[in-house]
Amino acid sequence: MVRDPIAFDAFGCNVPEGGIATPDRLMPNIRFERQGPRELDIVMPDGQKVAFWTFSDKLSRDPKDIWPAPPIRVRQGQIVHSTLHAQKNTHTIHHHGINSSTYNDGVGHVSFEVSGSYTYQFQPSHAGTYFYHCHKNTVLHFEMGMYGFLIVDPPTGPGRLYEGGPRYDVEAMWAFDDVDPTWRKLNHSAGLCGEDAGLNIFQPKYFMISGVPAPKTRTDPRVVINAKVGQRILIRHLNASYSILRTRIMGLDATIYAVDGRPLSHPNSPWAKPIFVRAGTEFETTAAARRDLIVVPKAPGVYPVVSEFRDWITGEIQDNGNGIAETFINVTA
Amino acid sequence: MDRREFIAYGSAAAIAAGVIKTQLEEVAEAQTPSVNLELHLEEIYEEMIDGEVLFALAYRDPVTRLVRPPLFVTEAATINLKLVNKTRKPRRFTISGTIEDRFPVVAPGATKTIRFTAPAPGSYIYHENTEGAVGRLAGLYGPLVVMPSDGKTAAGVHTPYKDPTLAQSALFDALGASARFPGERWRPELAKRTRIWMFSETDPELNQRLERNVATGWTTLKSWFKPRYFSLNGLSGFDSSHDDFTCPEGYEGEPVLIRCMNAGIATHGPHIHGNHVYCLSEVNPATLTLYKCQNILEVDTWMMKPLWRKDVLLPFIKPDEIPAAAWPPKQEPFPLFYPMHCHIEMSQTAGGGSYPQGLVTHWELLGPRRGV
Repeated sequence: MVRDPIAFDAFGCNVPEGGIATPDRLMPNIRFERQGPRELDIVMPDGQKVAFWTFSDKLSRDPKDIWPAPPIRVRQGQIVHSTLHAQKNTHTIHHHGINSSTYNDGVGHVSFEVSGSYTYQFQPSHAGTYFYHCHKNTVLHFEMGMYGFLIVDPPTGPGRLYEGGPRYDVEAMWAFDDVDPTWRKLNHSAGLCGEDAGLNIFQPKYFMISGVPAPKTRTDPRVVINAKVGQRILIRHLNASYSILRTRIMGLDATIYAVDGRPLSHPNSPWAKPIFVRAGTEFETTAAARRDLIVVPKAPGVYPVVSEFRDWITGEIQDNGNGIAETFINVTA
Repeated sequence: MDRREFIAYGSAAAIAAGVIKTQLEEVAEAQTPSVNLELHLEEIYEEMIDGEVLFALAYRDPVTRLVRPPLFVTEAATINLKLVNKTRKPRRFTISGTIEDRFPVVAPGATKTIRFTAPAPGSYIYHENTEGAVGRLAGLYGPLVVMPSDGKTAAGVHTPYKDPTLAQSALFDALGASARFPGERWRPELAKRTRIWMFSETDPELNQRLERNVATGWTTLKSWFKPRYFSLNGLSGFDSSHDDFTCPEGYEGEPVLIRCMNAGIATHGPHIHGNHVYCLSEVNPATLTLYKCQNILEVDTWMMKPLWRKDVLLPFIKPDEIPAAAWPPKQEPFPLFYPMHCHIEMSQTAGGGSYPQGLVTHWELLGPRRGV
């Protein structure tokens, strides 16, 4: 096939760069500034230091970088300005699940990659669970960790999943991820211009929930849920891995009230209804999918939550059966 | 070599063109209770997105010369399918979600006509299964679309299904008749309002074994299969993102039905930007039989396991998060471009790199509602 070589290069190898002014810019109700990539190491249970890239919050007074990147939390209806400061090379932010204009969507090969700064503009219409991530050489940059949660609350604020939807007393944000340490040796633009960087082969060795490697997920307070009998627990469940994720909540029934930021119990969507997940039965998600579950424990106890990371081709549990992350919901009277 | 033919990407793009050309023809033909079709099983060469040329297999329409042509039929039609096996091995035609081995094996060089009744309205994959998934991974696959003879809701609105579920009816009735979906109904008579997205992947090692005509190792396939190319309608990356018959396009309020099918053995996680989609039909994971959704989820990411088919509706509404005060955009030009790509991102590569030259395409929002 005859292809325009300039257009072909602009598709991946030589994407337009810029730091343009936001088109059709409005006065924001809320703004965020993210800077990246910031490099940090996480010590795995086997003692290995594994490198991650994250975004820092440029408006925060706390200089400590965290991973996943700091959440962006907004309310439905606000005009949001989310500014990326590309600290090194070019990057983008795609606010995943947010349906914005092309320039504000953060996909370089249909718009531009950011060198310097760019302010993304959007106005959330649906309360729910989203995330943001770099969309340059995404196969690598997402795996390296350039993502964080994006939560859209209803206009009334936290405490209810969406207008007319379920309320909650306890909230957890679980981002499930798998990590291939061999990819850490790659340059940020590895493979972009035709070289074989091995990015079609993914063999994760570490399995994490919200930045915590298994099996520390069993005890780490960033993951473990503590609640009282009768409290309504909201679990914002994000598959940030490259695996098929199979999750079971043992001993507790759950109900999925939203998927990918869209409600399952809303008068405007009579074709959708909540999904009941009986205790101990599994539900599966693919990469980047979100599920919002409500759990209401009726008795004190320690309830395990087990997630299996399964290979996209073999369907087997990753790393010869070791690809499992477990945590707990601790319920007291 | 005389049985093989080199297929360049230009030809591959024409496959998708055939989706449209044949659809209009077959809609008329499908009114008849009996349909005569012919497919040749051939050995060919195909160019990958990075210039690598690989041996492959394909079903070919002997008249249009298209490889992996879409077959369009109407429910309950009797299909007489003539198969001409020009490859060097016995082959067996099969259809996903139906009885696996009901058709006879066609010997190399032989011709055989099989007869069957079109299954329930929906999306299917025809493929080849003498050595498990080997045939389809080498390229012996194509879409089979079964249309309803009467797919209307109680309100008389067109759907792609016979006896649509209450949920399907509620959604299709709302198109063009609600604040959520201003514009038009889904219009099956317009070719642009339906698209097929067929996913697959290629490991050159398998293709080379087939070319050398040595043992394929099909019984242990999953343990060694390492795909290096990922395709959508036989195209990848730049090509699948610039193919008129793969990329949905239209104005606000012109919904498009997308028939997603996975002919590969990798599980894919398509993610779409710009609009969420509505999942209309799925398959039973154990039997691969089709069912119409009674609970329609609105998603931006959905799962496609091997041989799964999932029809989704792309509503072509104003992207929800463009501020109302910035719609239509004044400083940003139409069309607005939005990717659909698999989020199991290894599938976005070609030859181990070259992001995003894998399983990706775009849809184009050409402008606000026509005439408004």
